Amino acid sequence: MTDRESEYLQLVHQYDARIRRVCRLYADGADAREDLYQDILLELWRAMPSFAGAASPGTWLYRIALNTALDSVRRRNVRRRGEPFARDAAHPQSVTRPDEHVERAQSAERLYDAVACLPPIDRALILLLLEDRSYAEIGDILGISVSSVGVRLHRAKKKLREWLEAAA
Amino acid sequence: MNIEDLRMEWNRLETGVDQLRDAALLAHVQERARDREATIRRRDRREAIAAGIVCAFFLLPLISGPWLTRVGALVFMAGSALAVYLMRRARREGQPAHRTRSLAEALDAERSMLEAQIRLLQRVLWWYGLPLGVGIVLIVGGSAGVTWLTMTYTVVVAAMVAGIVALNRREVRRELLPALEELDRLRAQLQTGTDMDSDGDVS
Repeated sequence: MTDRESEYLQLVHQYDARIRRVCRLYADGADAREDLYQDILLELWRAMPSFAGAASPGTWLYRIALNTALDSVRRRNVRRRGEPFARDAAHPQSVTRPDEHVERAQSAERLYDAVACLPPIDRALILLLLEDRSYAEIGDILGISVSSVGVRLHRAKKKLREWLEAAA
Repeated sequence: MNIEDLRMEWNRLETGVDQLRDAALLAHVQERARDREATIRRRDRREAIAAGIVCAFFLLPLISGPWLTRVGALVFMAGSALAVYLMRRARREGQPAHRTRSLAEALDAERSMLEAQIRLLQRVLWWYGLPLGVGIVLIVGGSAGVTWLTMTYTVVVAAMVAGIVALNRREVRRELLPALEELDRLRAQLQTGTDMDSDGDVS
């Protein structure tokens, strides 16, 4: 096994659950999640030559995972153009409210549902916050300033809290 | 509910999927990477072969035809070469934004790529339709002279070029412009936390 292969496997094992959570937030249904997961694994493999120079493996991996996930969201929204928007269209008022899912959902599932109803960028912010990333890291992954991360997170958390409270 | 409670809940999410064994995972990923590269190589090879065939086909009229036919063959061959060059350049510039960039940089790179594709398709008349259309009409006109055949042929070629232009414009309208709007919507969300509707207004 080459160094690249062993590094890759180590990375995938270490971050597998996090990659899966990204997929759960950005893809509808088991098949779409699996497709997105495979795409992220492929992009990780293709980007491996740049891994050695990466300052933080976490930042490197989240960038690839989120860029791939948002790429799939964009393509899906373009395909769905003209149809009523699903959750990725970033119009929370037009999507199924999380409180409609509550009665059939466990609490972790309820949290997932609520986060998944946020617009794609807010979803990324909350995902990274829940994955225990610092504001500086979130800013680095998304390419926005730390102060902007704070402001944006404040709004997204408020929205999420309202939904979760309404659902509780 | 505070953020620590949410984190606890978050980490309880079950992925519920078995991991592939290491060897299978590596084999699968490497095969997909190879397939993707092979697809790109095949496409480049097909274009190069098509350009080669065009050049070989028009070599004889270029060497031994009447002067108008020679000009037509030259225009046609130059047009073919230009089309291959521009398509390859657009693809080179259009490599998917490197995934290791920040989201903002990746969105910007993707936008530049889309704009380049849109410009190319909107100008398809100038770099594809006209050189090839004019070239082929000159070849026929040079050989047959100004006859009904040449005039009919010119009309048919003009109709084909118009069709190609219309198809490319439809592609821009149906696929590329909506993709650009989607990118702008995400960019607006990222920069300002606002959404843009289809008219470009923010909410």
